[in-house]
Amino acid sequence: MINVLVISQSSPFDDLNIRDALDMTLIFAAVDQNVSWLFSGPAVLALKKHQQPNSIGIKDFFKNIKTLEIYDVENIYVCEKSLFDYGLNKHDLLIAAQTLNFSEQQTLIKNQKHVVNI
Amino acid sequence: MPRFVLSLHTPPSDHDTTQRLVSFAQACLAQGHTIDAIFLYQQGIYHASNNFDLPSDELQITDLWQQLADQNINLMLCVTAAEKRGLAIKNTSVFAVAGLAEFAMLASDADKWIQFK
Repeated sequence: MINVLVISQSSPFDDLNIRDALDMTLIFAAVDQNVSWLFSGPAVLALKKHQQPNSIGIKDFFKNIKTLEIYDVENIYVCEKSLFDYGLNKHDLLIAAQTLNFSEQQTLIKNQKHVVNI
Repeated sequence: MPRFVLSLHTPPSDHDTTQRLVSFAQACLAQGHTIDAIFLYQQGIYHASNNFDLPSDELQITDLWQQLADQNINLMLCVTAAEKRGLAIKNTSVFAVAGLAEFAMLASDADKWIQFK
């Protein structure tokens, strides 16, 4: 089993970046690897509760983000400072996520075999 | 010898990224390393379009891919990313239509996964 980290740094409606990152995260879980997903910068908005993309004609992929819990992807991390920057806290989030400060993020990255930015 | 997988995340209009990937791949092969796959993901899937008609003074992207294919490199198109973007996958020229799981397994076995974006 290898450690793989997917890092998201773009806002939820910036192209299909978050959906591509979600697919990548879910598939590494499906092939039994130890996958983590880190949200940083505007990407933290992808975890914000109560969003209705359907109302602007966009597929509701927040539902798919919730499936991470069903597939037992537990290593979901959020940059502490980014959360603060966007005025959010852990209770505003769609799924359970662990907040990490910069040095904890460095440690997380150091512990991976592969790190990808999607 | 190290084994690599490469992933391409940018569309064909990003000439610099395309050429960096191709140069890297050629350098890997020249040094005797193995490339287990080059995977088109995100906007990279458009490289597998069969609608290219490039003026002769533009970067000949299809030729670059053909050269890699001629060296028997496994060129893969991510079906999930392609379907989401509505890319027709009936004729994808030198690219094999592949699932994400297939790539994830190759990436798990590889020594290095290099992203180009």
